[in-house]
Amino acid sequence: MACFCFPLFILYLQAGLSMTAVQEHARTGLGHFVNYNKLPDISWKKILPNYFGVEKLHADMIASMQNVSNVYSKGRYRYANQQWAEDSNKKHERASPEMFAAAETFMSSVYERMETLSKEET
Amino acid sequence: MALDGKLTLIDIKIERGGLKPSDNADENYQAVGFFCQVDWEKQQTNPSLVPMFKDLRADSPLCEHTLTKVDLNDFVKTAREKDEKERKSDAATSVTGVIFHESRCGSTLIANQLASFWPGHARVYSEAATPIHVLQACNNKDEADCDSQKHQRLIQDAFYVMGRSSQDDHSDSPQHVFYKIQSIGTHFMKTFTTAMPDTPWIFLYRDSVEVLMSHLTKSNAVCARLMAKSIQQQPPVVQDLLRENN
Repeated sequence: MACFCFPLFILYLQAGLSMTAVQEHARTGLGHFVNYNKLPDISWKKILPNYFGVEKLHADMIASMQNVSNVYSKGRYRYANQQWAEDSNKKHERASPEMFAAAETFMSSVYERMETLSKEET
Repeated sequence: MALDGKLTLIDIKIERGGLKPSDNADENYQAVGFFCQVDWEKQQTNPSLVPMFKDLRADSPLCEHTLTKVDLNDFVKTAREKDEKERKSDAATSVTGVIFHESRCGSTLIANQLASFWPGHARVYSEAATPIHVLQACNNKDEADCDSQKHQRLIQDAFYVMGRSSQDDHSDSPQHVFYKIQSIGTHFMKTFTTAMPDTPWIFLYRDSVEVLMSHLTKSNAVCARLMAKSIQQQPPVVQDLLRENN
């Protein structure tokens, strides 16, 4: 494996995980798919009340979740309470054309399927 | 203290042959549970400082001194009898929700949100050892070495005990226990849902280019460690993909 291209390996792993999840959903009809780009609001709008059945979310509960969303989630040691900034656009700007092509090849189909499933309300 | 829910199940060791089928249908799995006092308040106060269960455990000053090892089977039997006698509500120990996920996709953010939304009433086992150890217990083993019924009981009992730790003196208060499973645990999703079919789960995913770029800026990514393994050691779905693409 030492000669294997690292980015491609990441895509293989990601595809493997995603396909497994999609297959499990197809098998049982259960489970919900959540896209990162819907964070942080989806936690109190959908995950807790609709998917996990935790109803009656008070304003202070939502405020707690919003506060947590403003700091880097893995705030150990020197990262403690570090402000978190969305950087998805920067990641796209820095990625090479080869990365885009590889992502398209290995992930587009399963990603589109997860996007469809994420919009299912049941 | 473990029986009172004051100690948390931090890991499980399955004994050699502990899941083997036997002629005696009543014979159960053989496993050992490790408990200690975990400072859950630290997670509720600021989950980002203890983002993973291993961080919370490491930051629990009483854990080392309260470390306790028990026969898990015996413990569960006694615990269930005690809870039945005291009429503890099932809702106090059942799993509220499980997060499966790709890597580098905001799963820790969601875990932190769930840990903080209702202090004293919610806990998150964020990539703890116990769930992944029990889910993987029959990995690469056939039915001759791993009885599926015993395995399911082990999984159910492990989650029962982990949820049981959430009970406090005010057992009327709703308790929510969430689990974020390691990303590799997604490959054992079917094992989990077979044992716990009524448990809600979500799968968190992200745009692939963003995941790629996130990995490339991280020096000790899980994927880097997995890359060192041979093809035969990769999860089956990944092996298929590798072979399809030569």
